[in-house]
Amino acid sequence: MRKLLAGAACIAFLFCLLLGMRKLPAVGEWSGRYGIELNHASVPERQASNVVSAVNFDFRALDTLGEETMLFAAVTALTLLLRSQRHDQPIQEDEVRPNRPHRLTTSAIRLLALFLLPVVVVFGFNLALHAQITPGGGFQGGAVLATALLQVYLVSRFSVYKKIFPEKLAEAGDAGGAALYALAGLLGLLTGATYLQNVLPLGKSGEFFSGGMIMLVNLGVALEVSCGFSLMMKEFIQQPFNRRPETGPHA
Amino acid sequence: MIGFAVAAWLMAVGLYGMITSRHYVRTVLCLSVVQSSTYVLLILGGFRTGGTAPIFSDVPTGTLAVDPVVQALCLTDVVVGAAVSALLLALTIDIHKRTGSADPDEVTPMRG
Repeated sequence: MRKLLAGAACIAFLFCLLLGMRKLPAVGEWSGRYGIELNHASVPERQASNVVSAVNFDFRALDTLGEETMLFAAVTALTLLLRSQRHDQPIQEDEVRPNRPHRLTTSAIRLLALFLLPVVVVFGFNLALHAQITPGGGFQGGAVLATALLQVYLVSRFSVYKKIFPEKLAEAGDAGGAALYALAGLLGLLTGATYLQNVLPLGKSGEFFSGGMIMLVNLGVALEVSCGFSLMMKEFIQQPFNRRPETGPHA
Repeated sequence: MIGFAVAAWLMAVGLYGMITSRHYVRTVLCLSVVQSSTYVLLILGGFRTGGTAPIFSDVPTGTLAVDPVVQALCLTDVVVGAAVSALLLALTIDIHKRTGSADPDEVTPMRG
């Protein structure tokens, strides 16, 4: 009954959506002025060849500050929700799945991961550092970098992962990245311009040091995303290894 | 139009999944489907026939390119989506810890 009602409602909703979309400009014919202006202004005025990064970290940098703060709040809330409580006791890995003894992954997978680990790290840095020139940026690069630590968990045991996980460093990086972004904006105020205005030397488009402030705030984002995502993953992975003394409903 | 229909379809299917799901993890996954419809809509909305990516390192400024603003918005959308999913999954774990169930029908808001 529920499925029938839900199906009918969703079909009606789909119909309304399609009806509304009829009046949208056809695909491929969009010609909003703002996007066109930005495409023309990015290289001459900011020396940033990646316009998407220029929008995120320069033209609309204040919006990205909000986005970044939201991510920071989400990571904080998640660590708060999943924190280990006072009564929790760490349990051994073999206890988690008693009838399925822990076995390491096959040596083929471990070898592949060992080979891929440096590749992933280099690729992450490549994405994160060249935001102003080529596709990529702090968000993408940070997410890739965060998966490097996940690979360690994939090929070894939780105890190893926990031992090498730099928790204090990740927490500091998460907060430091967010702070770097917010404080970099003050550079504009110090020089008499507005908050988050691009006041650093612009360099020349296509070179590593180009785009001025884009690189600085992008570094803040990369730091925050990589550390924040690593922390999130660790909190989730850690879940089965914490136990309350008397488990069960309303414990 | 067919592209917009894909976006509408994704949203409707995701909503149907959310309504009928009997497990919170499934609800969260269906929410991701709903959200991915906005990616399709945004990217299609800014597309210009014959346009390249808005990256002017190999092509000169002035080349016909798609709208960079919607692409930046889409990036924001993905980040928000990841954060929302992570937070909802954390809440799911918490609910399961407290009540021993992750079925929306069994876990009523007033309990616990």
